[in-house]
Amino acid sequence: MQEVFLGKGVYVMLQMMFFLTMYPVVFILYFVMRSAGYGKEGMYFGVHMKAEWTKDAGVKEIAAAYDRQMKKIMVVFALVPLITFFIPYFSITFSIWTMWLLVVISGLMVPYARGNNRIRARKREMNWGKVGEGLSYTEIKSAGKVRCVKPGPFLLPIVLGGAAAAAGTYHFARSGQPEIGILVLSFSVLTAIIFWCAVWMDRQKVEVISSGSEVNLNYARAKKNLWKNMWLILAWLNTIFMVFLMAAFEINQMSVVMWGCIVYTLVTLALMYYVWNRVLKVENHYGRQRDLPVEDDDDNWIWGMFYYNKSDRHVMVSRRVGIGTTMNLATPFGMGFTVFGLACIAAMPLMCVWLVMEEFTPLQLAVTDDVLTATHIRVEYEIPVSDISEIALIDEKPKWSKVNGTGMDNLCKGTFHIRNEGRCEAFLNPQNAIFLQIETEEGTYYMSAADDEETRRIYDLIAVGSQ
Amino acid sequence: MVIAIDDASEIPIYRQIRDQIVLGIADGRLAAGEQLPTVRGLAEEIGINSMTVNKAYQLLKQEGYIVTERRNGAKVREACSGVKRLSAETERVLARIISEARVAGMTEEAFFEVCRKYF
Repeated sequence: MQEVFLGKGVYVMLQMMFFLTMYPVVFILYFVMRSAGYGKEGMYFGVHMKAEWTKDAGVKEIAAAYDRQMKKIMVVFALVPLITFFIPYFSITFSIWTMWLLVVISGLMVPYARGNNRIRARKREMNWGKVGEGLSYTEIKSAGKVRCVKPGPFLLPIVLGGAAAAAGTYHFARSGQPEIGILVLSFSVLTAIIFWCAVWMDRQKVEVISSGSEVNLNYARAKKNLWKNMWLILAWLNTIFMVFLMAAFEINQMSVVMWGCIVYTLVTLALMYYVWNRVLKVENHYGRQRDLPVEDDDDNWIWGMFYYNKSDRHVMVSRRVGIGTTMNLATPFGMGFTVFGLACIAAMPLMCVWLVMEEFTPLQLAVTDDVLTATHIRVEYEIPVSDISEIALIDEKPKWSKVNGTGMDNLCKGTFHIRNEGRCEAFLNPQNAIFLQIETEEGTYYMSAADDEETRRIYDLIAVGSQ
Repeated sequence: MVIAIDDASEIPIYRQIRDQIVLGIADGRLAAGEQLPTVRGLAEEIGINSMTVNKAYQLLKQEGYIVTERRNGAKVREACSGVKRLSAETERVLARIISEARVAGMTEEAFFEVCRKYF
């Protein structure tokens, strides 16, 4: 039976997983932002531009500066994570990858935001005014009726996934591994969230490009159909992955779980890339039939990326960077989502600090006033010596799997499950040579101090005291 | 049919909706008896409050351009082409436009030429 805490092999697998799933982000984002800069017809850094304006020397200089900045940033960002292969500590590797991801996502947006500000300033400087007539167009034929998402096709993955997750949660809870049940359940909830995203995206207004209603409606249907198919495939993919996870946890193979995660991420990325290409093709095809001027609402886009328009009640609008939809931050839902997103981002560095503290704080065992106190960052366990019915020194810790707490190379802390024996509490460094096995009325504890000498000293203290 | 809304205009949005639906009926883009979107559907599509669309529909109904049915929503009135007169409100607007044309020094013939173009 393989253990669920990080061994060397598992750590290398995790490094590979981080690399394969996160490293491509820098290149994907680079190409997305690069094409968003001035690749879109009639749009420079999220600012509407007439063809003749783009020939201006000042505008060309802004585009060239953007290219230079993007290349420099991309090279630096591509090099940084390679150092993780020389770091033997999980918490530091994890922190570098997490912080790197945050910096890459925000860092590659900075040149775009600067380009947006500079182009807008150039437009003002040259008195170019607005593109179009300042009008917003609405297709009133079939208004609010162009919908591609029907609940039916989504029902099957949601129901199947839900039933499998419920059965899995019950099974893992009975076998003393409720955290796996919770993980499986969260994937089931994710399938429902995918359906919800599909519905929201489907409710987006029909983009008006032509005075002919059929063109507008066909354009909207073509795009919405692509999105619906993507969400549906994602719902099935998620359900299949959830069942796979349950099977992998059942046979207790962490390497299978990790390879599954890698494949799941890569398939998802490939699907998104495929849909992105198809949407671009649809946009190009219908773009040729445009006979209405564009809606110049540049003032509603912060840095050309974030939509903020108080007089628009739409929650979802078409993105300017990349494809798909983004939220109107002026709506209550958009504001709430932004606050939640920022809170999650703020929590990530805190999580990294906590992980580093977990890995690098030494375990402390002490007997004070006839109470055995186990301290690691904070007091974890206090066991009165009089409650200890039996204490033994063992030179091999049990084979177990984590129920909750921390399982690292140098730290097992929390509740663990030993097959055929049940639960126990762990507070030890697996790299030590000796451990304390403590029996009390409340259960079994496996403990160690920072080093073997200290563990032996605590054992002597308690064993002699109890005689 | 496409309608264009100008947020910066002094003309209220409900009036812009009303004007463009009348224009659509006049030039045949909206046929007699054609179903109009629901108040909620149109408000969602434009991204405005449904009260604004409701006000436009009420006005269109009062003026006889559309009929509303509880079950089927609003549709273009079958006989709206047979009213054969302008509403009092439109007559007031027309009087203002004619006054502006006279002040601008337009001749009656030139004014009717413009009218013929749009009629």
